[in-house]
Amino acid sequence: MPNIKAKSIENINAANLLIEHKMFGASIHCSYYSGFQLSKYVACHHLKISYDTQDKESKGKDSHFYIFNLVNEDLKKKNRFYSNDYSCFFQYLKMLRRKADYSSQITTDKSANEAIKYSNELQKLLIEKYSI
Amino acid sequence: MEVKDFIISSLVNISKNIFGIYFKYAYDEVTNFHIIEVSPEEIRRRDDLYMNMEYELWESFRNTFPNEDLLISAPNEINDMHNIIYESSSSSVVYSEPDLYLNFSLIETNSHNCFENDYLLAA
Repeated sequence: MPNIKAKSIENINAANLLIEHKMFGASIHCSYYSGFQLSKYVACHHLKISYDTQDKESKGKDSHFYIFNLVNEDLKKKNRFYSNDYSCFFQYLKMLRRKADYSSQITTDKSANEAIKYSNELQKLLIEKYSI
Repeated sequence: MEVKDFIISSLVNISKNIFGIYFKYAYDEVTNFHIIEVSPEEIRRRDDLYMNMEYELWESFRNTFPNEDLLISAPNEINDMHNIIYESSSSSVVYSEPDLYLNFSLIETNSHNCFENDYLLAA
């Protein structure tokens, strides 16, 4: 299995384990990266943009938005409504991670569970549309 | 146009076209996200006209405000909607007259003001 896809699976498993141990902020971090890494995998293996090219082209930019944009543009070509869902799931994860990683607020189990839900939804969408 | 005006203008436009839709728009100052909650779910994910308009909103927002963050979602208690900026609900009544007019009211709450607009549209 390609490394990035394996990392994505590891991160969603870690997110679940972290919730069991009441480490909600760290769990959200893992949920976010699980979705982001599967998006990188799609960009490489289905859009044929190698990881090296991804790194070079996103240098000096918002590298996460760069990956989001690559996948989103391709989903739009398949069906513009897929883009609505992908945008919603990705933005939810981004918002929850920003709050968990950078704010002084305590992260709740509810937020951590929602992050896992949206990460799973994002991955389900990519797995279905790219037959991963 | 300011980002908040852009969003309100977009929501007013959607409300005029989609009867029975409910919007709540807030700005989360902790995450700097513009959050739009949309209901009911039958419209949000089953009405093609609405979904096309949502798609256009995502696209135009990203193109116009590349440094801002937007979330359009179903209502969710994890969304911080305390800093409400705009709220609207539209309801429709279809009259069975020969020339079939649609009459609906759009109730809007914009910051601290609440006002109601009546629209009469030819079907």
